[in-house]
Amino acid sequence: MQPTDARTLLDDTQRLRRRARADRQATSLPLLILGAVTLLGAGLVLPTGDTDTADPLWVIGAGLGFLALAWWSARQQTRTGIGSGRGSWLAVGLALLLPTLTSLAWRPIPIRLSPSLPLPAGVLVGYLLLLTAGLPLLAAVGWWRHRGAPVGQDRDYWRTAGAMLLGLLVQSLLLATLTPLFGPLPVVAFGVLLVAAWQRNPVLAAWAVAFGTLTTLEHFLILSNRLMDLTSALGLFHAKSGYSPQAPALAYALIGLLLLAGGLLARRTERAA
Amino acid sequence: MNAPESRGHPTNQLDDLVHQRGRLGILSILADSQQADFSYLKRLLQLTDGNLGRHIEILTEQGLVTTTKGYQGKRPRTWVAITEEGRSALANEIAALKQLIEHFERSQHTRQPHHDHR
Repeated sequence: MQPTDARTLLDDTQRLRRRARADRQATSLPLLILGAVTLLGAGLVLPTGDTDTADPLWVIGAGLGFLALAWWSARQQTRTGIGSGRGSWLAVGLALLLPTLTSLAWRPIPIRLSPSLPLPAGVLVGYLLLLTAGLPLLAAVGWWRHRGAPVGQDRDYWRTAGAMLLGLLVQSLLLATLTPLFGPLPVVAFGVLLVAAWQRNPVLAAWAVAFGTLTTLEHFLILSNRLMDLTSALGLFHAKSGYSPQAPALAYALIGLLLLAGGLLARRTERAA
Repeated sequence: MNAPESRGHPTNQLDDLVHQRGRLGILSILADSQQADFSYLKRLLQLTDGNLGRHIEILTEQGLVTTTKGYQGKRPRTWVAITEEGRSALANEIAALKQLIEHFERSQHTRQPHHDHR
């Protein structure tokens, strides 16, 4: 084999991989959705400086965003013939929404399993309901979707439904226990990281790690404080008490804008390939 | 398949099964996607139905890809996905190609006459 042939083959391989990555469009839309949700939450934090006011929006907004991504991924895969389908986004979206919604529903009865485990009993009731009703429901959906297929093809509904449900329960439990410790956004980032690992998308994984790191730092107000130091040093703003309640909103807004910029950049790269 | 430890000339590390242009293309596309359907692969690689089908059959027999026949409504679709063996075969092939290029560049460099500028 000639070295020029080897170089041509390598170039072809890289070109095909770039094209396949671009056709999947698996990075831009998640970043744009995450950026928009973070930015909206920052808007809610702005009047009071209390990040708790944005927590429900961040969890429910990201969960619904993930469900929208699941729908979009399935549509994209059908249209183009390439992609990762809806499974991973659907599982992470439900895992995020399920404990939140069951916790909200059971909020009037604040039963906790143990003082050391910050997990409301209502979450577990939600899991039990899912186990008894979810498995047959997922199997029924599988049967309905493939009802025209010949026997033996894509008909293992129970196994698929079981695997999906198990993954959902594990992720959901993990997310529900991490939220009280680190706030909702690092948990959302963790969900995105899981999806990126499943889809083998290193760019999305890098963004998820960056988003998780920044939002974890801000959960402990580290970015806000540095932002205050910076504005004071530049002579732009001097808080009398040494702290501005608007600083967290500004920090989250900057994180949201960073994600939006990353999403637009990824969109441009995908279109150029 | 060539084991990575079987050194010597870089061409010895090329795997005939993966090295073929069409099959290398199939594995490259699938490495960056969870799965792709037959029509997508055909369009991107510009192969005929028969050619593509044969390449997929060979890769399936060697356990480098798997195929799933499904339905989109009433329309049949064949989805192709890469296996872990397929991923490592592709990685080995790319490493071998890079090594071959490096080997050539090194030998070219040593063959060039040294000019004395005294």
